[in-house]
Amino acid sequence: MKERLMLGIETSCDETSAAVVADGQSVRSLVTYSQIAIHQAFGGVVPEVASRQHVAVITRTVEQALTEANVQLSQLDGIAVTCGPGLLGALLVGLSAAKGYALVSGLPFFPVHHIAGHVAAAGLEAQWRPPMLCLVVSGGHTELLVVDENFRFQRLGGTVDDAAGEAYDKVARLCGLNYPGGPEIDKLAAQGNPDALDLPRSFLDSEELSFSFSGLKSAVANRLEKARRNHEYLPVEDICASFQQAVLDVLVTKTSQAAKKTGLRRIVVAGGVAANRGLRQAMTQLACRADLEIFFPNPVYCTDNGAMIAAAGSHMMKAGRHGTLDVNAYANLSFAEWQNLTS
Amino acid sequence: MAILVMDTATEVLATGLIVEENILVSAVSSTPRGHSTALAPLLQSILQSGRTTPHQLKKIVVGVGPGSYTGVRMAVSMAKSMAMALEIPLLPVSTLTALAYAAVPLIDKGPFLLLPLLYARRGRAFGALYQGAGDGLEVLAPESVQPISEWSSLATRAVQDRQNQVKLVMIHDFPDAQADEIPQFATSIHLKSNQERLPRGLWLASQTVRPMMREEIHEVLPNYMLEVEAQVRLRERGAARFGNGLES
Repeated sequence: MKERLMLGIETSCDETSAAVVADGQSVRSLVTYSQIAIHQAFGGVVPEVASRQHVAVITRTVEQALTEANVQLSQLDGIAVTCGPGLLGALLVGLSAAKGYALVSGLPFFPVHHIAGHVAAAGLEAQWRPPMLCLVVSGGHTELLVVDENFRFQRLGGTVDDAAGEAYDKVARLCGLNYPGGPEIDKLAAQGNPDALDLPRSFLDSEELSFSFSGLKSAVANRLEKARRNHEYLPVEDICASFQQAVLDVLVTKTSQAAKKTGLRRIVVAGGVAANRGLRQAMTQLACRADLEIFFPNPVYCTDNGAMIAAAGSHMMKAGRHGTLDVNAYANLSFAEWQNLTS
Repeated sequence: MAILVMDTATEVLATGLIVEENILVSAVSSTPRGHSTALAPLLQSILQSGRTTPHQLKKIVVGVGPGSYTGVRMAVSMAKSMAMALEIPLLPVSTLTALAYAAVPLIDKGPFLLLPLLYARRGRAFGALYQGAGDGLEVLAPESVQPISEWSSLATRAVQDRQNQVKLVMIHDFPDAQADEIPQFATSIHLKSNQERLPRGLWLASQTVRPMMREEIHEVLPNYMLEVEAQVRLRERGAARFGNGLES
């Protein structure tokens, strides 16, 4: 059977990314212009700066992705683009450009939910075997979902306050580590004592599939303040290890509860934090213990990228779920709302 | 020769298809926050009404502002991707110049000055001053962002310099809530009451700009005219720290 090529475009935050993916699985090209260096000076992403940067590089990014995949627009089978959730101005750049390509080529158009893209990353250069339970952990999201054979999602639960990745960034700042803080904490945690600090684990004893990381972040801040007042030395490795352990305990327990509740044996762990070595280790241990199959995207596809959006578009195409060129961009977008955008 | 024009820099979304030097079909819309959903379907519909396929297009004209940042980026992003995909030239035109050309038919006869002003908050407006010259327009004051009072006195002086023998037409997009900030001139037209002419204004304005091809298309950007505030603050902090050669 002829392979189906999808162009994927992602501009929901601070990466301008485009990719060509065959059959939702094989990455033919992936080009990403990261703005991290630009936003570092501000200590976080400035939405208007991000949008200006996207419009400056969008067509170059797409052209490079097509060139590297050695295909022309007319040889593609569809165009996929993130339509939300994300920074509205940033999303609109990718969405408008994608509509332009779709309009002139007449190709089918697939508006993709950003989180659905993170989940689809698990099928890149790997087997895609829904239905699956999904744990999506990133700077903006911490969610437990179920994805079915038609690439439809059901949300089981999520964070009630901060996302896990957000807590990582805040704790990293408290420890004086560089932005983005996740990888730094992960590295230092491996050398520290996870029992050094007694930190809270929210919802651990409840059956509710919810997360809360705001209290954990405050507990770290209070403990550091106490240590400062008492002239007590706390090795940064121990702070990182204790914090990471508290996050992992909650993520693993809730995923395990969700697996029991849904009866699903296959689990996808996706999102920026899925590249975290500590999380990978803890989830792999859970899989052994509970006889579950666990799928992690390749770390290069864990951060925001066009390939995951192309893969999601391919799954939508297979399920016959097309979008139209009047679709909007959404700063907030539930799975139900997104699923209503396509027919 | 078919030319597609579009502009989303103001509250008026303007699209048009020009064939053989005439507007064959055009469509405008001024639904608040509606540009993102309306732009692509409007382009599809005018192409369809004009029985023109995208591949028959020879040029694309896009208004690059100044204006609403999020708004202007939509048409610029779409026009860039369309021109790249079709391998045709892209003509970036000033939205202010297009507004000025769109207002020319409102003037009966005699010498005239045109002052397009787009509200830029905090008592400021993006603007430019043009005077009629033959079939075209001559720039008297280039595009910039100025206090509204500055635009007002600049235009008044220009009229006085011509011994009041010239008609001044202001075209603006001031919102109702800012009506008291509108400079008082005899002829003042709200953009929306002349929106049907904006596609033609874009096309006329495009005749004065150089077409961008291939690599140059990547470089086409909105004319923001104002820096991002966070960048200004960052620079000011840097200047405060290093301005006198000493760390403060």
